[in-house]
Amino acid sequence: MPKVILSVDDSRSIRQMVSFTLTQAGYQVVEAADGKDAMTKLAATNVDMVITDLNMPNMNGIELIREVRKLTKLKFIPIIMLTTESQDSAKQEGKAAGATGWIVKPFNATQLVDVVKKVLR
Amino acid sequence: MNNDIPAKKGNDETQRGETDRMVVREEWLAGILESIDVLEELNKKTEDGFLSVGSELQNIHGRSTEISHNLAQVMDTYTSQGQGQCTTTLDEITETSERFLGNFETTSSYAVEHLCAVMKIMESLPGTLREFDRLVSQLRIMGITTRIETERLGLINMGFEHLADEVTTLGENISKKAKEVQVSIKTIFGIVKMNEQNLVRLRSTQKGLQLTVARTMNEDLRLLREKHDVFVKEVANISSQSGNSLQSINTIVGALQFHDITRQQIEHVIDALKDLHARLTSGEEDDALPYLIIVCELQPAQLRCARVEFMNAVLAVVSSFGSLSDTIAQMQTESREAIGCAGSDNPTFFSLIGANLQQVTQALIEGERGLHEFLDSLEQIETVVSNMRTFMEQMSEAGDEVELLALNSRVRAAKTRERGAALGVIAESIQRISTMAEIHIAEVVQSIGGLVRKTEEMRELARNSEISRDTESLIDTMTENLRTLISEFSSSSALGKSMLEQTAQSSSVLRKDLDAMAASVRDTRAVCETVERIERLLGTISQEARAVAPAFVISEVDRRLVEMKERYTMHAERNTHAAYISGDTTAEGRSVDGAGSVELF
Repeated sequence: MPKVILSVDDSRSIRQMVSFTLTQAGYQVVEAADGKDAMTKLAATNVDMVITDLNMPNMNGIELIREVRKLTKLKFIPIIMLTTESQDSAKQEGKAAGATGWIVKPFNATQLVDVVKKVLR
Repeated sequence: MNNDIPAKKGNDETQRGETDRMVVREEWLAGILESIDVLEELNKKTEDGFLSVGSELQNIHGRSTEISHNLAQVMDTYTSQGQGQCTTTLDEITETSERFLGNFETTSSYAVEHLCAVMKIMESLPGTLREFDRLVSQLRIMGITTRIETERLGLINMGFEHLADEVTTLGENISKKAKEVQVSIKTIFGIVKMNEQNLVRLRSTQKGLQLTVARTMNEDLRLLREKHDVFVKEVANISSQSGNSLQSINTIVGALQFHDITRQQIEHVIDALKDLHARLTSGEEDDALPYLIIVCELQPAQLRCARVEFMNAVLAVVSSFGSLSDTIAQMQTESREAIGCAGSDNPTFFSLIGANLQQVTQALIEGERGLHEFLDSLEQIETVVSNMRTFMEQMSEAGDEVELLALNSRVRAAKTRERGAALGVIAESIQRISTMAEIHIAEVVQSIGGLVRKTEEMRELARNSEISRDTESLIDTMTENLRTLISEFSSSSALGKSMLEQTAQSSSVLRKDLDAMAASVRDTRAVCETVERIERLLGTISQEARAVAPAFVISEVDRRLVEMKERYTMHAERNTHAAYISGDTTAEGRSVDGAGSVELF
């Protein structure tokens, strides 16, 4: 059974790229357009990992992490931020919220796959 | 409104100026709203275009990867199991043929040498046998003379009559044996002559074969190896195309992320325009103007960069696709050639190799048959030589009898004393004949002894030598190898068929993809044209904003633009989007050197 990854981004093209990259690497990808949509998908699907953008409408990435960490069954699920934000303060905020890692856009497909492999190992 | 607007010259003028300004302002406000609509529409169009091209690129990439993977597998099987094994077997056959021909040359050359020696011996024998004829005639005369002399003397001595009979019988006996030896010599001569001719003819055929093997077979082998090497490279190439999948993914992912940059930049311009519109409506437009101008003048460079990168990425995917298409075309040609060996009207590389092999096989079989014939004839020579040996033993015994006869004649002559003087002469003659017979018999025995030795040597050479055994084993190996090669050609042909089917299928998929690819390139161009339109529109907005902005705003904007262009356009043009999409509305931006960086907590 392939591992399931939830890709959360308000940009259709980024979701498309993440999905394309990870599918080619043998993962199954579920997409969500923002944090709120991601929470719905998480409730309905068994997900092994989350990759989320930071700035999104309705619920941003940091809020999403906080909400996810409140859920017992998803307390330890790996969550990677994939964002254009590269400031240390933002990273620290993400880390404090419970993010597993931080990738700055534009991302490289090889790097993304490597991170996913490392985190899901 | 800003206080730095040019001074009023009079009430009328001021009122007219204010009215004009209001009109311009209204037009500008309308223009901003129109620009927002156009930008939103273009942004949507661009996004749809990027996503559609991206989706198509992903599909094509997926198919190309699958095709590359399948083709690499088929080619690898064909190269290693089909073509590779054929090359190895043909190599073995060529090597075996060369060894066989080398052995044949050595064996046949010794055989011809030995046959020449046998011929020489044969040629000397008839002369010696003619001497026997002369001796036999003399013995016959001696017998008659003895009989006459006995009658003349009236000797009542049966011994002399008996002597006369013995001399006659002995002469007839020796004559008979000599004739038998002559018949044997003729037989051996015939066999040797035939063998010599056969061997000379075979040697000439085998020499021709050596040339065929040396030229044609080695050339076939060289070509087959060359083709094999080309295929091995193709397999490596196609495997690397398949292996470079991640690199293609990176190209596509990288290219399409530029869309995201573009989209967000345009959204940012739209936000700036909306903000300006709101401020204009509330009379605070001057605060928003600098930001709008900066955004509109910085964005085109980023958009241009995104557009070019996107186009390049699409072209890279197209180029990689073209390379795959070329590989498939070459594989189709090779597959057709491979199938040709199974039977085709047009001579193909494999069918030509097959024809060469048939020629070599035929000649080798003939060589083998020639060697067998040679061995059989040696057996015949051996039998005849063995008979000759018996004859010569008998002739030797006859020589002894002549010796006894001579002794007996002398004894008889002595007994008759004076009266038998003539008998003494006869006895001397018989003695002389006996001596001559002894000499000739010794010569013949020696010759036949030489014949026996040479025959034994040939037999030894042909039957027991290492070369002979090796030759027979080589023929066995080669026959086996030829059988294997025929089966491998057949298997190679089947693999070739499978490869042709696979390539035809891939080619058909690729043809469809080529259409899709052409459509994608057209879409890409359309997307890029839309982005260019946006770039031009931003230029127009900027110009309009500059036209209404106070001078001090323009000079401040220009100062900041110089600094920002230096900072972003020159330093990290492609990443400046980060400053905008991060929500930094001062447009100051910040370093985006961390783009693509990964940090795990």
